[in-house]
Amino acid sequence: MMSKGKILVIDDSEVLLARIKAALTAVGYEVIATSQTVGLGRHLKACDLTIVDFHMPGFDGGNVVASLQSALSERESRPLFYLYTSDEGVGSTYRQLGFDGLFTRKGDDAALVAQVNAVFRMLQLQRLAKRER
Amino acid sequence: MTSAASSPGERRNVARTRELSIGTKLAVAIVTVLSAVSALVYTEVAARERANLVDAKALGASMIADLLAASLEAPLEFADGDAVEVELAKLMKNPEVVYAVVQPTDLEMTPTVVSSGTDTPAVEEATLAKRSFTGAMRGRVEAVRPVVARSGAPVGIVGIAFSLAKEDSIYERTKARIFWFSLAITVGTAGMLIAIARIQIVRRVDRLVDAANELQRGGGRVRLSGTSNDELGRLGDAFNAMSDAIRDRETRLEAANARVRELLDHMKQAILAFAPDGTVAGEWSRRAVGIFGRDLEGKAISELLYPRAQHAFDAEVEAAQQWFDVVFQIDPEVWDEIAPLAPAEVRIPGDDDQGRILELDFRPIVQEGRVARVMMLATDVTDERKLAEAVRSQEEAHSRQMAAMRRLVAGGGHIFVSFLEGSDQRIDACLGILADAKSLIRSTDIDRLFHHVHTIKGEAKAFDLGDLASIAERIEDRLSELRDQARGEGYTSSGSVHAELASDLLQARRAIKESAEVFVAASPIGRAALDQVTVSRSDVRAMWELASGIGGPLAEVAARLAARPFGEATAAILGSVPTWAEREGKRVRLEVDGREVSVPPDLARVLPPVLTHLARNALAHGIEPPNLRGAAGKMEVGLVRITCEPGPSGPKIVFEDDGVGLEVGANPHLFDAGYTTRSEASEIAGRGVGLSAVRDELECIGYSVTCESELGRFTRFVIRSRGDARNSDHLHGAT
Repeated sequence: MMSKGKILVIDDSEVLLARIKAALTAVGYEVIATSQTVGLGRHLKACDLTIVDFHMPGFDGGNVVASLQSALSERESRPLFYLYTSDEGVGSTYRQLGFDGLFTRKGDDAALVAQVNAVFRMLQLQRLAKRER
Repeated sequence: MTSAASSPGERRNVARTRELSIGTKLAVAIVTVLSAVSALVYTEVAARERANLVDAKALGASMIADLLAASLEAPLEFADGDAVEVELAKLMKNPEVVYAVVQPTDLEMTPTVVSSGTDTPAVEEATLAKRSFTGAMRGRVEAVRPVVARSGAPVGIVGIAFSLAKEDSIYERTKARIFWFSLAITVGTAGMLIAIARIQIVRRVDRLVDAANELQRGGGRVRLSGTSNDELGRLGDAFNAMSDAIRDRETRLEAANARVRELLDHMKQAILAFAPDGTVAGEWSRRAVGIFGRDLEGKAISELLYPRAQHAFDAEVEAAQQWFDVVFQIDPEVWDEIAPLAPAEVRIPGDDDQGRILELDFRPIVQEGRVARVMMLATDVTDERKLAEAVRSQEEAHSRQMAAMRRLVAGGGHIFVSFLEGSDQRIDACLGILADAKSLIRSTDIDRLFHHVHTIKGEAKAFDLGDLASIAERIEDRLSELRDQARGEGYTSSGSVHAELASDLLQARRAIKESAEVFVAASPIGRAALDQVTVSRSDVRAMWELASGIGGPLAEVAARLAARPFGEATAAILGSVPTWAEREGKRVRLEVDGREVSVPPDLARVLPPVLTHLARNALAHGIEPPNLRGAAGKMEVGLVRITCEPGPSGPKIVFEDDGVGLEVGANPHLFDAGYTTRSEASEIAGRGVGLSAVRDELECIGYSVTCESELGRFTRFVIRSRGDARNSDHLHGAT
């Protein structure tokens, strides 16, 4: 089955990573799940979407996304960076933190799948709208 | 739909109020024309009247001049100046004569001139030179006549000037009369014409305009009455026809709209449409009102679908809003590309915490080559999802139960059987306690009830029987209340709790029965599983062998003890047949009847491998692949059916499949070792071993196996004791 898109997931919980990977792979996405924050440059280049946890030991999602974005050169295509958290206070500042969007209801795999599907629909809509112009 | 405050026509009419009405224009025209005509007529008539007066005067002047000329003939011929003067004096007595001159031809006579005043102008020489003249000039009539003697010789010229003062006076009076008369005629005629025009034209046109305006406002059936057979009458008829046609079209349009609305309202989907600005526009179905509320016009579609978007960012809401925006920018030709990117379903607030789940479908409404509006069809699938979820939960619960039961069956079904019997007895004990207690119940009875129910609950949980455990817990809650009430007195009134407890206990009994049925369904030996006890196989065998030597009833009981339920022999193939079939690329359903039938120990020992051989044989040689079965008009899923029924000398077992069959007569060595109908061996059969092994195993213990078949329909193997087989052959032979 052709992949619906490539997703990089960064979280410090291996259990959560396994669940997220299983849930998204089951609906057709190609998923790279990692708790490491170094050496992700090669994964980023081919990704459509990067999902980042906020609360991680030693650093937060904002630092991570800044570091990931700086790893990409100007010419490279940039994936979308989405913050994944149930912390409403942090979630409301997703833009300031450098994220393109926010996934909520952390822990609810079905809700995550629905939100990821929505993001990929938006990507396809943007491509279609650009083509039609 | 509300009507407009004023129609465009009326607004045009208001803008034109400064213009003159047709009535005024007609009146002005009539008055102008009549005035002009009247002026012309007046002028002409007046002129004619003066001319007539002057002509009359001229005629008189002529006659008088002729008479004077005649009367002056002799005086002039005979140069009688006095006579001339006398004649002239007579003439001057006429007050209308203002001048007279007689000019004799005889030069010796002087002309005689008489006039009414010194400033009265004379008759000019030029006029006299004309010799015979009558005409009006210089405000008077002048007549000149020659005077001719009898001999025909001219003797002189006479000229008379008559005053027109009288005629002028008459003329002035006449002219005034003519003026007033003309004016009266003009005014009267104008008035009549204006009135006629007003009645026949202006008012009728006004009525037509009013009717048109009323028609424009949608004022129902508008007709003009009293039309006549003239142009305006025909215009009125045409208007009535147009009004009827419009009304008819409106009626048909209303009926069509009503039918469409009825269709929309009877569809189970909520149907509405939204415009490029994202708001609801146009009509919506009754179901839409039920789901989204009233007064949908102008409401944002994103608000209807996502009324509680709470978070700083919601990807689903964002994606939906983007779709609502982009969908109006695209070419309708690419609708099939964009439709899958629409939100497929939403959950909106409903009557309970779960909300309402709507499946969404969108359709474009194209006008002039562009998507003008988008129609949304929302189907409420809440109940279906709840039902599906409930079914799934039940299926999962059932699967868990079945798995638990199978584990029980595999690990010790007799324990479960003990539990079922024990729980049933405890329920009986509880119902007995309640029956004895009647309206008052003692603490000791409550404690006894508690013990029984608590045990049932614990054992139910151990066997994963959630329903029974829940019922037991409910009973415990009620008993706790009673216990609290009975504390102190040592007893309490059971009241309505008595009936509730009895009902719960009966419900628990039903749950136990249901568990038993699940257990029977999970057991390969069926209902016989409920009769299980645990004994040592070697002890049973030893007892059977001992009793066989003795014979009699003891041997029969021992044989029954040693016998096994037929279902046990099928346990090995129950789960394996579907797997073997899948490996062969086939689909098979296995049915077993007579699981409870007792099978002697010898037969029970060999049946598992025998049935295994027969099953693998059926899958390899009998059952066709699904496509071939379909082409042959059979169900794609093949059937293997095993039945066991008691026979006179032992059970009769029939193993049958609905596969291709074979010609038994053409295969006399069917049960011979090495014989196979397949060119290649597969994993499960084809080596020519199975059926020979079957026959050998069975013959060792006094049983036989025969094969019946019909090509294309079935193959049937019948296993029975040799005694029964002989009797059967005998019977067939006798027939």
